[in-house]
Amino acid sequence: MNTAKFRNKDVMAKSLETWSKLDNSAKIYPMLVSKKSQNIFRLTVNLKEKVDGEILHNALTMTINRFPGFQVRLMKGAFWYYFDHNASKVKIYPADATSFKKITDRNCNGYCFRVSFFKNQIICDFFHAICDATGAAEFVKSLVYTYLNLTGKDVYSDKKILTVGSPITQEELEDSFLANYKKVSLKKLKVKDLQGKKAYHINGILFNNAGNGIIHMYCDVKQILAVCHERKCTMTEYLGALFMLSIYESQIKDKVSQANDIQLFVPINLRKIFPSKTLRNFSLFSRVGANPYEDMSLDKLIEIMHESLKKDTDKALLKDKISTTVWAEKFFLVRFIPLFLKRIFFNFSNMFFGKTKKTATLSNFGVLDIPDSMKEHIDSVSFAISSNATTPLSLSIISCDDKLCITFTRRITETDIERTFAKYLTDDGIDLTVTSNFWEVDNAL
Amino acid sequence: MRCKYCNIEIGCQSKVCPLCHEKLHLPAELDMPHAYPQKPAGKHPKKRKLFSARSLYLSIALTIFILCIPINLLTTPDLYWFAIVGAVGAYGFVLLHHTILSNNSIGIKIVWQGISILVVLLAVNFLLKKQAPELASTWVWDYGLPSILIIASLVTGIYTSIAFKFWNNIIIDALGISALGFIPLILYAVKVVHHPALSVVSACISSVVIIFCGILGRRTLISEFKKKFHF
Repeated sequence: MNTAKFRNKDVMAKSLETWSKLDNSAKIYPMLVSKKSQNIFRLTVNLKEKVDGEILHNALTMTINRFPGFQVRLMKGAFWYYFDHNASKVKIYPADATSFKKITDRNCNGYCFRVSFFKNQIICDFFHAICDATGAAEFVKSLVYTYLNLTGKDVYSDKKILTVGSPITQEELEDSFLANYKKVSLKKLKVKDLQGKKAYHINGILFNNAGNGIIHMYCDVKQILAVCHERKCTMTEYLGALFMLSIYESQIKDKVSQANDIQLFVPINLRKIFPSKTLRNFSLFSRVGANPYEDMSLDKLIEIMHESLKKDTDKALLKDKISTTVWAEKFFLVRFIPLFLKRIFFNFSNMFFGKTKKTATLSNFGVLDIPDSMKEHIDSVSFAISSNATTPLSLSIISCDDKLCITFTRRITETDIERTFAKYLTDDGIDLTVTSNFWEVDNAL
Repeated sequence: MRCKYCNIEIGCQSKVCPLCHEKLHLPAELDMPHAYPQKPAGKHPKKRKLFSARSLYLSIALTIFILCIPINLLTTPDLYWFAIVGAVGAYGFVLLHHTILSNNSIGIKIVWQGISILVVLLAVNFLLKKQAPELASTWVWDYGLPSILIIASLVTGIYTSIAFKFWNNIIIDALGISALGFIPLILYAVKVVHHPALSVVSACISSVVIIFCGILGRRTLISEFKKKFHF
C-alpha cells in the first residue's frame, strides 16, 4: 500500500508539474469544435436506486485524484493545443434536457468532462480530446465504484476497477500512437486508405435547437448472440448490417436520384490489437461501404461488414495507418503552421469534404466489465455518441451483465431508420424495450 | 406498456411510441420512470434567438451609417465625415465581437483593441489628408500609436501584477504586448515619427514591464514558453 502511495505521488507529481501534449488522434478534436457541435460521447450508468448528488460529488472529488489524465484543462498553444493541470474543484451538474451540451472551459470549470445525475442515472459526458470510450469507461467504473462504496454498499474491485488508492502507471498516460509508431517511407503511407470516398448523406429535418434526439433500445444479450450465432457473424457485423439495411430501406430504396455508397465509420479499439493500457485515445476507424444498387440483402451486408472489418483490423495495416497519422503530425510543415491557421484549414476541409465521406458512425463499445458485486446495484449501462448536422445519425452499442443497450443519437426529427432497425430486430425474435428523450415531439410525456 | 405497431415495449413515461409516435393506450395506474429530464412543454428549450447582439449592433450601425451619407452630402458636401462614422462603427463591432462577447484572453483582447483603434485613427488621418490637409499631420505616429501602446503595456502590466495567481495565462501576452512598445522608437529611427517624447515613454514603460516579468516570473515564463510554443 505504501509503495502504491509512493508510486502514485511520483506519477502525480510528474503530471502536475508538467503539461502534456494531446495524443495523436486527440489533436484533431479541438480543431473541429464549432459553435454547434463538439465530439462528445456519453456513458450513463443506471443504478437501481436514486442517485445522491452530494455523495456523487464526494466520489468524483476522490476519483479525479486517481486519474491525472482527466484532471486537465485544454489550452491553446502557438502551434498545437495542450493539456495543463487543472486545480479547480470538480462539480456535479444537474442533468440538462439538452443532451450533449457543449463542454467548454466556462461551463465545466475547465475540465473536459461533465458528470451529472438524474433520478437513478449517473451521466458522464466526455470531450473526445481527453480520452476514448475505453479510457472513459475506466474513469466511470471507478467513479461508480467509489460512489457505491460511499453509500455503504459492499462492493469489491476484483482487480477490474482502478480504485482510488491503486497505483497510477505511466502506461495509462502514454500516447500509444507514438509508442507504436514506426518510421515509414513515403511510398508505404496509407493516405488513400484514410481518405475514403463520397458517401450517402442521411436526409431529414434538422432540429432547430441544440441537443440530440436519443433513443435507447435495451435487449437481452443472449437473444442477440443466438441470432448472430445462427447467422454466423459477430454482434458488430450483425447490427452494422442491420443499420445499413435500415438506412437503405428508409431513405434510398424508393429514391429516384442516384445515391452514393452507404459508408459507416466503425471505430476500432487498438488496445485489443496492440499492447496498451492507455486511458487516452487509442482507436482508429474502419470504413464499411455498401453500394445501394447492388445486393442489399442482410446476408450480403453482413458479409461486407465481415470483410471490411477483417481487412481493417489487420495488425500490419493498422501499424501502417498509425504510422501515417503520426507522420502527418510530425511533418514539419504541419508542425510549424500556427494553430489559428490549422483551425481554419480543418474547419474549411471539414465543411467541404467531411460531410461527403461518412454516412453514419457505428461504435460498439463491447462489454463493460464490472465486478459481480457491482452488478447487483446497476440496472443497465448506456453509451451514446453525439451527432451533428453533417452526420445526423449515430449508433452506439454497449453491454453490461446480460443487458445490451443500442443507442441512436440524431440531429434530425425523423425516426424512420430507428423504426426500421427495431422492426428487423423484433422480426428476428428479439424483445426490445425502448426509451427516448422525445426531442422531436412536444408534450410526449 | 407496448406499441402494437412497432411490437416493442416502452420503457419510459410517454404518451406516444418513441419510434412511430402513435398514441399509446396508457393504463391509469401505470407509473413509468422518466428516461430523461423533461423538455419544457410547448417550446424547444434554448430555442435559437431571433437575433444576436452582434446582428442587432450591425443593423443599427449600418442604418446610422447609411443615414449619415445623405445628411453629410446635403449639409457639408466638401467634407466626407460619414467615412469617419463608418470607421467608428467598424471599431464598435470589434469592441463588441472581439472584446465584450469574446472568450479570448485579455492579451488578445488588448491586441484587437489596439489594432482597431489604430486603424480608426489612420482612417481619420487619411480623410483629413484628402479633405482638410491643414489638419492632417504625423500625429497618429507621433502621439496616437505611442499612446495606444503605453495604455496597452500599462493595462497588461497592472493586470499581471494583480492577477499573479494566473501568471501562466497572461505572462507571455504581457511580454509580447510590452515588446510592441518599442515600435514607436523604431519608427522614430526610420523617421516616420517626428516628435519622440511619447515614443520614449512607451519604450520605458515596456522595458519596466519586461524587466519585472523577466525577473519575477522567470520560471513561469520559461515553462509557459515550453508549453505555448511546443510543436
